[in-house]
Parts: sequence; C-alpha cells; structure tokens
Amino acid sequence: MSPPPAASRAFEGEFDEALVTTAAEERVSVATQWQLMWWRFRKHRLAVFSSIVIAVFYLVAIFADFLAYADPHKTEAFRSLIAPQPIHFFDEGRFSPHVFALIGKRDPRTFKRVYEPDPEQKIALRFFAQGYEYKFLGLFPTNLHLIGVDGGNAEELIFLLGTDQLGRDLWSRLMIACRLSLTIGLAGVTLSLVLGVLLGGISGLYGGAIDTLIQRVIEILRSIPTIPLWMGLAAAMPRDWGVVQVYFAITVILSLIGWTDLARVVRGRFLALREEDFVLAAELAGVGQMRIILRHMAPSFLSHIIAATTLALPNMIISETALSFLGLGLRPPAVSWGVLLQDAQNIQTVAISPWLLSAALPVIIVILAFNFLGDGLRDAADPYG
Amino acid sequence: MMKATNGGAPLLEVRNLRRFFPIRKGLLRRVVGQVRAVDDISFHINRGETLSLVGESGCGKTTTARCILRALKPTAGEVRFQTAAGAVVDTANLPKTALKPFRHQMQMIFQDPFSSLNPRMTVFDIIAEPLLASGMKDRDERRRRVENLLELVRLRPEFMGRFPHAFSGGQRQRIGIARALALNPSLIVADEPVSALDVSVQAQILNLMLDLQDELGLTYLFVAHDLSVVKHISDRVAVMYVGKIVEIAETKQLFNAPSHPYTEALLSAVPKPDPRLRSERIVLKGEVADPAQPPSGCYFHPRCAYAIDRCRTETPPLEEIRPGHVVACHRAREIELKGVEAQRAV
Amino acid sequence: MNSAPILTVDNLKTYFFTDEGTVKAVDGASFAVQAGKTVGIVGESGCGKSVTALSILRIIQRPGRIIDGEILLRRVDGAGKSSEVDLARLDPEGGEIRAIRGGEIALVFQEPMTSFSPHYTIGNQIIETIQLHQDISKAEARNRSIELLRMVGIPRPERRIDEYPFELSGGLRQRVMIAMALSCNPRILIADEPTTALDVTTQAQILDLLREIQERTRMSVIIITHDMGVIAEMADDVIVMYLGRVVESGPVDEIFHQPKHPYTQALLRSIPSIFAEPRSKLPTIAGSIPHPHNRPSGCPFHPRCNERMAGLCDVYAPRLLPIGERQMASCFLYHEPEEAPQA
Repeated sequence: MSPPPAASRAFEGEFDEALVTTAAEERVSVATQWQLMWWRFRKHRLAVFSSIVIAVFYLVAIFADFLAYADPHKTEAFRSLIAPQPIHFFDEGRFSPHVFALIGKRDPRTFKRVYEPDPEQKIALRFFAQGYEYKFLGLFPTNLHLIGVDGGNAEELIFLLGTDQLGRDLWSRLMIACRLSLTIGLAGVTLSLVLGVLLGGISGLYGGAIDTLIQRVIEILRSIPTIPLWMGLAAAMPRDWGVVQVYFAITVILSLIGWTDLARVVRGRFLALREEDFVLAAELAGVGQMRIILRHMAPSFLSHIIAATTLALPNMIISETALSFLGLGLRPPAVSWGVLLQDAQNIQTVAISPWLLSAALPVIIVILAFNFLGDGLRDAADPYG
Repeated sequence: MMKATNGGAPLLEVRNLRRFFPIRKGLLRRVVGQVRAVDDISFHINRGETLSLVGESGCGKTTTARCILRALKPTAGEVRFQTAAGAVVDTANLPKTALKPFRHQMQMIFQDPFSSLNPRMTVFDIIAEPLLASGMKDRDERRRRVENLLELVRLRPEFMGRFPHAFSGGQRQRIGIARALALNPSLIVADEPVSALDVSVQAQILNLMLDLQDELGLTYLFVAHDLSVVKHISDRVAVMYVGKIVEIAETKQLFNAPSHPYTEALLSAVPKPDPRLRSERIVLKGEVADPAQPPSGCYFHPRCAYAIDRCRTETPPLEEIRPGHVVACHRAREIELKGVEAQRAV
Repeated sequence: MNSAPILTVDNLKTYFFTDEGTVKAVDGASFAVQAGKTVGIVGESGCGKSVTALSILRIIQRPGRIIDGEILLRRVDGAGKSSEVDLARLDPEGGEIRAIRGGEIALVFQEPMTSFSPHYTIGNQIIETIQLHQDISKAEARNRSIELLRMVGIPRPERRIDEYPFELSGGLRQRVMIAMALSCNPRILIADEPTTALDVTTQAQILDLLREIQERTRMSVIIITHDMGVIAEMADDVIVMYLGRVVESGPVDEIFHQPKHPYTQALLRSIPSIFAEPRSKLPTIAGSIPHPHNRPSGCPFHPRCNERMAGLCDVYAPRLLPIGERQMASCFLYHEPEEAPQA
C-alpha cells in the first residue's frame, strides 16, 4: 500500500476551478437537503398559505374552550333551533360590539317556536369575559373566554351560529369539534406511518417471499369496499364503550386501510434506492447495512414520507367525518364535525335550519388546505430532481 | 480458499465466469429460460496495466465488471484476486462476510456522476465514508486524508463542505474518483467513466486517470463502448459479443491488426473525426443476437461476412494465434482483416 | 452559396424565463440550410443546439420563448416563383405551423422509445401521421407505411407494422422514427442526436440510411450532435455552437482542417482519436462549461480560452463575421471589436 503523494506538488493552476462565483451561489452550494426543500417550498405560495390555515385550525383545537362561550353540552329546549345572530359592531358611531336580545314566541298558527330580535335590548359583548368553567389543556381550571357577556351567562344570550335542536350553541360546539376531528387524523396517520414504514421497509429491503406476502395482503385490504368494512367493524364495537375507547377504536379502523398507501411509498423508494449507484458505492466501500439504510436511504425517502403523510391526513379526517355522519364513528356525547353533521341528515331540518350544515365548511377548508400543503411538500420533497 | 502464490501472478484472473439471469413467467414465477449475460469468459489483468472491456450494449461487459466486484454473485467460475498481502483469493466463491477484508482493494468508478454521489451528503462525508467504514475514527485524520485525496484529483480542498449539486459533471466524476481512491485500492473497475461527460471534459478525466495510474501504480479494468477512448487509455483490449469474449490483444495490435471479424466491423463503424476519411465502412447486417436465445455455433455468424458452414455449427474456442493475442474465430488464421491504420491510408 | 437557401435562421434568440433567472439558451444564432445539403450543428451540453431545432419547429416549452430573430422558410411554387414564410412570427398553436411541422419539416429525436406512444402499434402511429397531412384512405396510408418501413430497411414490414414500439430494438425503433418523419416527404429533416442512444455498429447503419435517403429524395438535413465524428461523416456545412452562440461556421473540410475559433481548435484537439498512440495524453480545455445561469461576460468562451485578450474578450461580445470566402467565426483574433461589420 503506497501512501498518496504529499500535497507538496505545485497544484496551482492545475485545479478544476469552481463553477460557483457569487455569494448567493456559495450559499446554495453548501445548502443541506432541508434548506433546499424549504427554499423550494417557499415558492409554492398556496402551500405556504395552506400551512398557515392548518396552523390556525390546530390552534383553534388547542384553545377550543377559550374560543367557545357556551357549554357545548348544555341543552335547553327553550333555545331550540335559533338562527345565527348578527353582531353589530358600532353603536351610534362608537365601537361597541353587541347583539340584540332575542324574544322567543310561539307562532299561534304553526305552534313553532320563533325568535325575534329586539333592537331595544342591546347585549354588549365583552372580550376575555368570564364564562363556564373548563380546564385549559385538561390541566388548569379557568373560566376565561374570548367573548362573553357581563354576568357570565353567555349561553342564554348570544348565538353567533345559532343552536341545534336541543338548544346547544353551534359556534361553541364547532370549536370543540375541531379537537376530535383534527387529532383523530393525526393519530390515525401516526399509526399508519408506523405500520407502513415497518411493513413497507421489510417488504422493500428483504424482497422475496415476505415481499410477495405483504404485497398480497395490501392488495386484499385495498380490494375490500371500505364502507361495509367500517360498518362491520363499527358494529363489532361494544355500545357501552366510552368516548375515549371509541376514539381509539376508530383510529385503528382508519389506519387499517391507511397504512397500505404509505407502505407502498416506502417500498417503492426502497427498491429504487437499492439500485442507486451511490448505495452500491457505499456497499463496495465496506459500509454496513444499517448505516447504508440510515445514512443513505432514509434521508432520501423521509421527505417523500412527510409529503405522503400530509396527503394521507385529509383522507383520515374525511373518513372520520363520513363514519360519524353515518353514525358508525364517534357518537354523542363526543363532539366532532361528523357528529355535528349528523344533525343535518334530515333534509327537512336542513331546509328549515340550514345553519346546521355549518360544520361542513371547516371540513372543506381543512381538506383543501392539507391537499395544497401536501402538493407543495411533494414538489419540494426532491430538491435534486 | 487461500493459496500462496508466486510473485509474477496477475493481479486478477477471471476463469470461466458465467452469470445467467433467469427469465421468470407466470403466477408461480417459474423459470422458463436463461439470459446468458456473461457466458464462460476468461481473462487476466496484470498489476499496473489497463485492460479495456469493449462491446455494444447488452454484451455483458457491465455484468462482468459487477461480478468481479461481487456486486453480483457469479453463476459459476472463478475470480482470482491477488490481495495486498500477496495471497490469492477467489472472490467469486467466498461468502459475502468473508469478503470484507479484501473488498476495499477493488473499487469502482461509475458512469453517471449524478447518481453515484449521494446528493444529501457533503463532499467531505462522501469521500470520508470509506475511511470511516475502515475504522478511521479520528475526524481530523479523515479531514487531512480527504484534503489529500481532493488535491490528488485536482479539486480545491476548500470545496469539501459543499454538496454535489454545486459541481459540474466532470468535477463530480473527480469526487467519485477520490472516493474510489480513499482506501488505497489496487484494482479500479471503471464502468464507462467518461461516457456521460461532455467532450471537452472527457479528456481531462482520461488524463487524470492516466496520471493517477502512474502516481499510485493502479490497475484498471476499463469498461467502455467508445473505441477512441479505449485506444487512449488501454494497454490491452478485450472485445465482447453476446456474453463472450471474441478477441483479446494489446491495444495497438487489436486496432491495427484485428483478427476477429466483429472487431474489424466495430473499428470500421467508429465515425472518424475527419471528413477526408469518409470511406466505405463495414456496415453489419441485422441485429445483435438475443442473449436469451443465442444462435448456434459462433454467435456472430449470422452477421459475419466471412462465415462458413463450420461457423454455424461449431462454437470457436478462444485460441492464442500469436503471443498475447487470443481470438475466438475458426478462420482467424486465414482471413486478412483491416485495422484502423488501413482505413486512414485510404 | 450559389442558390438561395431553403431555410435561413437569422439572429435567433430563444430565452427561458425561469424562477432562477433568464437562461439565454440560444443567443443570436444565424445560419442557412441549402437545398439537398446537410448542415451539422455541433456543440456540448448547454450550447443551445437542440433548442435551435425546437425553435425552428416552434415546439419550445414554456417558460421558453423566441424573443428575437427570423426563421425564413423558402417555398417555390409551380410557376417558379419563390415566397418566404417567417416561422418565428407564426402562432405556435396555429394551423400553418402544424402543417409545416411533420409536413415540410420533420424531426427525428434522440430517444426513439420516448417519442412513440407505447399504447399503439407503430403502424397506427405512422398511418395517423400520414392522414394528418395527406387526404388519403386508411388502406392507402397503410400501404404507404409498409413501403416506408421497407425503405428504411425494416425486415418483413408487413408483419412489423402491427408490432408495438417496445417489441423493437433501439436500432429498429430509430428506423421506424425515420420512416415516420419521411412519411409526408418533408423538404427538411431535423435529426436531433439521432444516433446517440445507439451502439456504434447500429449508428453506422442509421447514418448510412440517412445518407441514402437524402441522396434519393434530395431533401435537406439538419443533424444535431455532440459527436465530431458524426459531423465529419455526415455534414456538408458545420455550425459550431457554445453557450447559445454560433462561434464558427463553414464547410466541413475547413472546420476540421483549418478551424479558426479557439474553441473549435481546442475541441478538435481534445477529442479522443482512434488513431492515437495508446496511453497518450490529450490536450484539454481547462475548466467546465459554465452553468447557463452564469454566462460569462463578453465572449462566452473567454474564461477557458488560451488566447483570450484581457480587456477585450471579457468585455465585448464578438459577432459572427466572415473570414475568407466561406468560413465565419466570432472571435476578436480576426475582427476588431467594433459594432459595425467590416467593409
């Protein structure tokens, strides 16, 4: 083994000169994968905007009780099906947000309860007002709310999005619903991710009979029509399970299908990467199998997995909504967007009180935002392509 | 497996190497045939020389290279490699785990300078990886060695913090060469190392490879399809056709006095960069044979202008027609073939 | 230059407006194609040779755009009167350019596999092309296709016509591609790296085929390649491009035996030759081709040029001007850096 010749030789002028000349290019030349991805992602305006929208939604989920003003579970027959109530921001030229008090009457001909605003009775809205008691993040007991009224009985006086048949305030319920609807997607995707990466990785890495077996399982799972499968599984769920138990059961049911997509992505990347020249180069250099996987293969499919996960999330959210809407998923007293929409199943109710459909709006916005974000991430995922 | 050897043994000796790829069909993936990618080839490479393996796509030259490096397991045959310690090991038949002590003595230079470097690692990490794998734990030591290697391939050591995307194709190829040299290998297998590069950059890399060979005493197995490039770099040339070697000779001998009709046709087909040499070329008829269903006898006979009945039935053995010149052709001794000098004279 | 050329490209500029900046893929290319002759456009990656071809056919993809220059196609009608149409002014989606594309000017690509649809037989695809430009029945078109396949040397064309592209070898696919290009008797055939994806012996077959067809049909050929050997074999006139500019042009013998531009000279010296002494070193061109985003100021070749003149080559851009009777070069070794051309 000869040592390489010392660098004493006059190399000046013999070097292959750099292509990089400016400071901006110098910055690019030492940029890591994540920096390049971020620069590319930043250009995708819609995706950046969507990520802000999604962040806002998750903030709402965290501060749901603070944003609500009425106890979402408190029923009151005398406040059934109140229409959304407009807020008046100015009172005689002065900024002073208020709503008009509602007078409930029974229509003498139809015997239906109708509500009429009384412009004489102005109810001033207060910010950071006292309201019902709750535990912030489940830990700190407080009764602070973003809006409320003097006296703390907001649920009797303000109805920003109206009420449902049982007289519960829709705005407050919508806020609370964000929590379950948005986290069930995350939990489901996490479980899918673990299953998908594990089984997809095994499938791609070992190949052969294990690969064939896993691929066939995926094909069988994907060929089962989802709604009957869900119905069967939901039917198998004991009726006396609590909200938390049902929540986890639904997560498992959702990810049972969800992992197959991710497993395919992971397997595909593994198979592609195994053929890459730089992987062979590492093998020839005597680099161990574990290091090849962690150092060479994982980083190049991590970004793809992030993108695939983001695109899988809206599916999860919409599946939960669909399940709950059909009455197969979460059940009252749990509050989710699907549960809220269940009230809007009856065409007659929808015709008379269309505000019951308001839970559909956040579903649409979140699904779109996740899809745009996923598109942006997918485009940025391979900055070397 | 190991044997003591005499000093004059070649660095690498390939004996009856075969690599077949099964063709599978149907639900049960039953083997219905074999692609004879490398079909019983033998050759050797002496220490410090360059042997080029030339042929058209699908002739098995890349498969041969990968079998030698054990990136592929040969179906049969021996790959006898003389290790730095002087022992001869048959790397074709060692289990993969027993291969590790010798692996770093054979390294590879890849064709595609883009896919051969991990885009997510810095130049330092790429070149230092083999060092780390061989147990060089001290980061400063690795840094010094990488600096050294970069200077060896004429790249500025200051660039080691950059990622591959900041470099041109030629510069990336230099980085790939530095990585291959990191562990002081004795044999470098270069698989089409300049064919993906621009013409004006090819010459730089070829010159660098010649310089490095002189400086470090390297031995090259140079796999290529471009005969002009091969002429510049090789001491000896082996020509492959449909998984078999048809001719091996010293470079000048092979180019000026080819003895296999396929070699002659190959030489004639190369477009010469001189409009005054537009001449009658030998244009082969038909297509390269399918290695899954090779023709009978000599695989080249359906396209050969000199074929006789014997060529259709009998496979010609590889015979030495003069010292250092072996040919697999029944008529090698009787036919007069044209080399490149003869074309220039026209 | 005895007769009027069939195609004249004058000061063509095709730029790509990307997020990272403007790439001047073709920056003032000028050349002429004579009837029945072969023009070779040679250059390395990023020199703009393919973009030039795509510009002629007006199939530049966004964000690319022709921003200046003329591409004049000359036609002679039955009465012997000649007229010219400027392809650069035509609507790229319009009917006129579509009739020219594949009709008067045909294109052969580098990769024959990707230029075919994998879902249709080769026969379907040739017949479709014929019927697009000529008003004949399907049966006639089929017969014509078989005839074309026979002409490009495909064995048993009656059977091959019903095969799918993947069933053919690379060489046969390129023959089919050529047959398709010839289907409407084009006056100009543009071949963009027609043999780069092929092996040498197949390359020899295809080059022979192209020459034979040209002799028979008297069409003009523009052959685009990076391979000086192919140029030497095929071209009558040569255009040498570097970073979007024509650095030298002239008859093939002059280009190979009396190159004027330092780039042409260096390129010819640096290509490996089959006549070289084994283990001999090659003269090289220093450095790499710059990234198209950082085109050097002045003459684009000056950072790699051995004969660069400081204060001149790095400041002023040389123009393509005549040297002698038939050759042109853009280099200050031969011309003063004045805006006005020599008298």
